[in-house]
Amino acid sequence: MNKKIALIGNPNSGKTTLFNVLTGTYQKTGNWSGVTTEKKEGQYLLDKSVTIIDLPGLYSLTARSKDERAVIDFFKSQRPDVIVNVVDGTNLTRNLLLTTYLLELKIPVVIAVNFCDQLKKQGAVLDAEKMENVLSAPIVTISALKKTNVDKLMDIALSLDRVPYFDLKDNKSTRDRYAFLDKSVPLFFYKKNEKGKTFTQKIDDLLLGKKTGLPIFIVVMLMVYFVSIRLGGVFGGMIENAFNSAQSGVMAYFTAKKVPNWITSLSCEAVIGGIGTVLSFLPQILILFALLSILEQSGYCARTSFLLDRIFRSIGLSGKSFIPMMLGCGCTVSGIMATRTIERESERVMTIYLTPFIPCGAKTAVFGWFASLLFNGSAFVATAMYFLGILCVCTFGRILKRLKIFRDKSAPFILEIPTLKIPHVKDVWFVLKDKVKDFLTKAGLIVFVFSVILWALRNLGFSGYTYGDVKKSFLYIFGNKLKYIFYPLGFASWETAVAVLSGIFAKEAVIETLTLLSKTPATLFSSPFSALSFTAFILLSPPCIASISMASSELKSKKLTFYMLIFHLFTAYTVSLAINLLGILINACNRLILPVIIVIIIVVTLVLAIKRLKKCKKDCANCSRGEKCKRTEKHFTT
Amino acid sequence: MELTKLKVGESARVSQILTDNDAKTRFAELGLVEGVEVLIVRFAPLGDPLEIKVRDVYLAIRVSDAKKIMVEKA
Repeated sequence: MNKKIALIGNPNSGKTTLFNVLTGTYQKTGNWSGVTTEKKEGQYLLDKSVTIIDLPGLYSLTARSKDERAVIDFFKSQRPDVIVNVVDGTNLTRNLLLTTYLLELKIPVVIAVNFCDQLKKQGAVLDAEKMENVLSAPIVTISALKKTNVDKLMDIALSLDRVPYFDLKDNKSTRDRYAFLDKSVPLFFYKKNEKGKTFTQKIDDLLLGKKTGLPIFIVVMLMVYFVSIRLGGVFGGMIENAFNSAQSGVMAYFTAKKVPNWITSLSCEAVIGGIGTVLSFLPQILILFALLSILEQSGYCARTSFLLDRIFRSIGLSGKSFIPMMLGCGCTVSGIMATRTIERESERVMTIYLTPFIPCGAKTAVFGWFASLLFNGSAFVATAMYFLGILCVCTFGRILKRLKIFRDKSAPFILEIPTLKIPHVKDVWFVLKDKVKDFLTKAGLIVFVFSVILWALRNLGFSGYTYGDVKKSFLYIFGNKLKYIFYPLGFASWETAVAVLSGIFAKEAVIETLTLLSKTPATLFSSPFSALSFTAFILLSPPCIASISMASSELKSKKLTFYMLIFHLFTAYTVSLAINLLGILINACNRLILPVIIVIIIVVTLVLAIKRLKKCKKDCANCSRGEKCKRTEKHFTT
Repeated sequence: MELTKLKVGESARVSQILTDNDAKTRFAELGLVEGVEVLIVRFAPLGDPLEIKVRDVYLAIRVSDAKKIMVEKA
């Protein structure tokens, strides 16, 4: 007998935690609304014929957001045998709203009241028997985290075939449902009134406080950044050294054994070198992910949306765009996935367009490599690229906001602020394990295959094996054709042209390509500005293939995906061009001309600033300029 | 009076929600319906949005939306 059991409940009510307990797998959990963004299936540990389905959290079945539509579609296409409605016991009335919808579906429902341990601590009393009578569905109080009563829940769910009898008759509006719940919940649920501030509230006074909120935020972000880059760099260096000595060791061994030249070259340069380069960035990315997932599970992530909404609004986004962008620091793919919780479609599309501008782990690795290659390892490159990314998000956000497709003002901004939690080591560990696996397959497979293909293209030409004469290779011929496109950007060599192209597979491949193709990559760039122009191009050009396919599946439109690629290419080209031109300008200017330009810039900004100040304030009623105002006429008429 | 006129720490009962229907449904789903009690918890450091407490839940809404929520002090 194959049974299908669907887990449904409000966002952040613990469905995924329960799913993990039931199936013995580890899916990502977090402490903000919308961690699960697509349905996941698993087999019940104690009975493999039972399929358990974890669905994204929702508040009602009115099909407003993308997640809600996904769940309703799921109900239509494959009807589950039993619904397990996971309910957050600490917030019963609000959670039971969804229950009133589920009870009308004519599918057997079990209600699992989660967080029963916390309820006990709060001194709340739940009369399950009375609750069953009111809602006509079996009730089990559980704690998914501590695995309390989970087996009992499953026993009831598996033997249940009774469809609930629940009818609100004509009172089916949300307001009526609340009226019903406000009347009936006190019948079976008693809770002491909390006196004073809760623990979360006391901490929030600091985290979200008027004076402390933003400074704490900045310190937290800087710490995340520096710990992952610095500490990761130390471990990364160790890995790199190990691979370097392995490489020279193998090379010496092969030469001594008189192994054919091409085998030595392939195994040392392509295989060991390629994998080593990518692996050396593993610690950096791991630490970044660990810290981000700690922030996510503690509930701080959701709070950053609250802190930053005001800033994001000025560029046509909301505070909710911050989580995708922050996760984008780790990986653009997870960033784009996290846009699901944004209700306003235009805002969602815009966030998908802009998130790739935030340097992901792989891009940061490229910048780090550049810094050590050309800028004595100074943190300047990575920092400059972060600022450039943020600057581009702001400028292009403002520009996109004006476009017609991005103008709609329906859904209001509402954000749930979750209770603060201490992150569980286990949860952080499993996120990490996942990432390591992901990264290793990437390094092991994609980069390996890519290195081999690259090696082949570099060492093979129309006349077969080139014996190290690069100028006869396919890659040289192709790269030489391509390089003219990049001439205005200041990095017109065949190696860089191929490197840019390789970035489409994975951004790490850029380092890989440059080290494989050129013995002295530093000489490829005529000036620091041409190197910066190159890194800016890597930052802003269309993201890796994984991100593009994620974006296209999230945008659900070929047209919008195509626009996105054009938009990224355009941005990358113009910004790189600007950097290169600036470099040429500064180089061309000798000591006499430079001050003149600075003076001109200062004068122009001053004039603009004064003009702006003189401009009539929009608030005409309180404007002191009165009739002298040039816009008076206009304002009096409207 | 408007919800934003309340001081931090004050609570009142929602008498009317004057937003368009879409927004009203969204508010309702999260428990913010006419007749419910709201408490102003705090304003964000930049003055907007504000955090409110409705039915044991802490929600952040924007000032522009909060101005459309009418409340009556008990």
